[in-house]
Amino acid sequence: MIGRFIRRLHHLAARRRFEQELDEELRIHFEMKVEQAVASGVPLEEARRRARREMGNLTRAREQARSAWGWDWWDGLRQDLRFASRSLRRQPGFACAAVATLILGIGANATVFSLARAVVLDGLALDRPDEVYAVGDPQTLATEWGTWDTDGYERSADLLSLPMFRTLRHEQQVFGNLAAFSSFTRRGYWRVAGGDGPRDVGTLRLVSGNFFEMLGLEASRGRNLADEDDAPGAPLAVVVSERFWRRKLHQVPDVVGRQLEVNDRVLTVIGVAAAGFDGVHVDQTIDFWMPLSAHANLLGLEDRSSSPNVMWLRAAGRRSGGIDEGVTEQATARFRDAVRAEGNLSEDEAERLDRTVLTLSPLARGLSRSRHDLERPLELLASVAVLVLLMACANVANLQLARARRREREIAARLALGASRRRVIGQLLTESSILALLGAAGGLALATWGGKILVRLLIASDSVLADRTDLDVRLLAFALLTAGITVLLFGLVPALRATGRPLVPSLRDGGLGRPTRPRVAPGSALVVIQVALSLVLILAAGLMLRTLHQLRGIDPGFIGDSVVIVEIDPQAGGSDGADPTRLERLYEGVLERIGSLPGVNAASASLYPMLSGRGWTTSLHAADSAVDPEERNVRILTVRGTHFETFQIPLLTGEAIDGSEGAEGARQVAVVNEVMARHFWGMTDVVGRRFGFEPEDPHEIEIVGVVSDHRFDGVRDDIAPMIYLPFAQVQTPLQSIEARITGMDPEAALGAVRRAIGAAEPQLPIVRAQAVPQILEEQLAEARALTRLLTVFGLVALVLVAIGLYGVLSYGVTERAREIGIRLALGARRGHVEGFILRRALGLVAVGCVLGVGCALALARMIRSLLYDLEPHDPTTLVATLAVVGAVGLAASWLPARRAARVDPQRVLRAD
Amino acid sequence: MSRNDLFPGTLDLMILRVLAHQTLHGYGIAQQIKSWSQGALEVGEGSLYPALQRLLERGDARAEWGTTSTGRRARLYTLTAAGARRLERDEKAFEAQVTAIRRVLLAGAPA
Repeated sequence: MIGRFIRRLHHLAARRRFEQELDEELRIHFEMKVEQAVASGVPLEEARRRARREMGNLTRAREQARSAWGWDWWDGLRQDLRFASRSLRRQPGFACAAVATLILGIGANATVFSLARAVVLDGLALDRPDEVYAVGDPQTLATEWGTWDTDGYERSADLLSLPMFRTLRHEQQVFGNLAAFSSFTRRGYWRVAGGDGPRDVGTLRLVSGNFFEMLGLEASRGRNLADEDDAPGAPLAVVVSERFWRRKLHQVPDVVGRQLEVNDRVLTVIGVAAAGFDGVHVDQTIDFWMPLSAHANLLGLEDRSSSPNVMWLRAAGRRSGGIDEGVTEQATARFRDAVRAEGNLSEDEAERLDRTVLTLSPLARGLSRSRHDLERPLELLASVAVLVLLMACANVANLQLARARRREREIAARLALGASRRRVIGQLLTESSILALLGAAGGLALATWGGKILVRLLIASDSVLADRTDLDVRLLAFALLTAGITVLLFGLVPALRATGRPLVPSLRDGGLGRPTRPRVAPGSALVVIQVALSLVLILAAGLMLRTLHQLRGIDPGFIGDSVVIVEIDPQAGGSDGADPTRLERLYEGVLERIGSLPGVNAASASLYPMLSGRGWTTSLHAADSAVDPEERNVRILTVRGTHFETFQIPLLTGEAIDGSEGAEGARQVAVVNEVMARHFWGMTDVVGRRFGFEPEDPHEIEIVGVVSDHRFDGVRDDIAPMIYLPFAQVQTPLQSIEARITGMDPEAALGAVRRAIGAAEPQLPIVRAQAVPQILEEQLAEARALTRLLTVFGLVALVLVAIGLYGVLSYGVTERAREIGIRLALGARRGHVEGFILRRALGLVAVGCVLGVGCALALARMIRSLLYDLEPHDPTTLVATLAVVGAVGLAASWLPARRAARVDPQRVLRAD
Repeated sequence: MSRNDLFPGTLDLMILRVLAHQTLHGYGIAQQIKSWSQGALEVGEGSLYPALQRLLERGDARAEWGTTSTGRRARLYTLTAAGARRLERDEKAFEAQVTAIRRVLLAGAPA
């Protein structure tokens, strides 16, 4: 067997010698034949002639001899490749058009695939990742929150308290190893211990001692956290990520044992995590992992971390053998036992506990916030990419058909000379494959570049996912697969058609003398499909454009021009960060400094920056309110300073607060917005009414003013009921410093405010500084990105349609040149001929439009959720789209129509 | 019988048998077959040389340039061990097949 293969390879390498030797053998055979004939008395010349006649044409013998070595397919392929490349080089216009079209089609799909791969497919590099499960619903797990008991029925438990986790870990039998991690991350302001330079910021997460062990990860240096590090009183230990060690610690070899100062506490680095592990959340990079017991020390809050009422942990564990209902039930039972073991359950809580179930989600692919957010846009993009690919294939197929038509004679001649149909089809397919492979190569290049852009547009400009869109085996395989499919789509049918025509008419005059059959040519069918597809794309682009326009036109309810917001982190300094006295001094100092800057009209501080998406939600109780008990949630914003003036939020009735009211002993006040007033009392004049936060509380908080509604969570989100509380009354650390500054451009204003803050509080970290108009623009980022992409795709589609229509029409003109010539010679007017072509074009476009509208309506649901205040079948957009497509159709048909009208009957009617 | 009517593989078999007898060049092999079949089988170049290539590819024969008994340069084919094994195997198979066919023909022949 091996010997045979070696012999065959040897033959392949020594081809030329083989041919020479065979020739010589045959010559010798001839001579021996002659010799023998002469020996039996035949004269030499006669012997020669006879031998020559007997041996005849040896071509077939040579071919068969060659076939015996089994390399026919290789010879055929080489021949096809050579012929195909020569043929393509002779028609560079066709080749370029086809390859460019394919690059667009394959590239679009590869780009979307690389994004999908980064967001959806990639997983964590754990040991046996399929065995790891997290407790909770995958969507909630990616956030920092738990699921609310919204429908009052089954509630999924995904947040645990520390005592609960400890009990569960000990008692449960479902998981081999159960670990926990904090549901939130915190900023860690760090520098090398003993230094006094500026601090850098990193992200830290708290994990249980067995976290790394459960995940099955080895430390790349030093060791991972272990249970002994998680004991109270254990020395403060931290594991840094490999990325952090590489980039921020400059890969110092002796990192283990070094000390870092994080949030004013000194920690020892005990190890560097495995390379490539940035945490369990796919779209976040963690720099520090610390044990759960470090909570009290680091986060500056009172140490409530061990309280059974504070749920802040997520659990995940390893279990071989899969998860089924029985396992989930078992886990739920254990969980309920653990909670009951805590004791102190009210009847209400006990009842809720019985309704609580655990959901176990696989952790293999990590947790991702973007994955959920991107589901809809990705779906839309993927569909769009497929559409573009189909259009590209349709275009190239059309080009192929036209080209094959021109080569009809050549193909007929080859078939007549004995080439098998399969070989000719093979040759045509080789040509298509070359085009497809070139398209795939270009498409891959497009994808690696485009993938990064997509990540930046759709996720965030600094997302770590941008690294994951690089070329890898899967992307390559995807591109090749797409190329293969395109070859089948655009190469096979033309090849079959080209080789299936009757030979004699084709040989005689290239088929031009045949009567044109009235059936629909496949070229036309393809154009119709293209028109339909491009209509869908243009419609989508149009809808997004209008949505963007609508979004831009939303009135946020406040005036953002000239306002800057600087986000600070007052708790970064450690446990005294929440000390009210210190906070009051901080804000007083900062606001005073800012207030003394030139051009400042108003300055204030509030709990969370406007439109940051962060909010403090709680429920309140008002005795005289008729609101449904399940719907008593409001957003709270604590303010200090003239917050409403800064944002120019109009006061409707009553008076505003300035943050100094409600101090110890004074009366408790609040300002509310219209939505809150109407929601609770059905009217807006609610000044004087009272409410409280707990049902048992005396309702001591009096409403002193009502302000106009404004957007708070996000520009597109509904306005929630809001109450504004003075800082003196509820001393939460305020994270947003706001100022209205006129007479300066935004950059200068931001710089001035930052400097003022820095002067007042040098150690106070500034997280972000933005002008409000910029924040508003960013809210539209996703819509803007999608609109851009869809517009690009839509324009590409239009170009493809124009080319396709032009191609089909001019091919039709060539095909019917004789017929047109005859008609003209018989007296038809040129205008008629033009009209005929134009009518044909419009007919194709019309059918395509009808088809396209049908498709668009069917696909409407995919885009509906991305639109704002617009229905997918919005008539204005639809009419505009039809007009655009129609105009393009007319433009594309103009040239072929003119050419048809200028056909010279004399030239055409003469023999071709 | 024209060469097109041979059962597939029988030409290869006959060539092997010739080579088992002596190392020979292509022309000589054809002559030998003609002689042994008493003129019934004339193997043309169109069948001979492809068959020889098949034998070479399968490893049943070896070819080397040498000189014939008459001093002429020619490509001489020699049977290999593998070829000898195949010859024995295929000969038996051929015999069995022919016997079987003969039986059918005799049984169905008119009495």
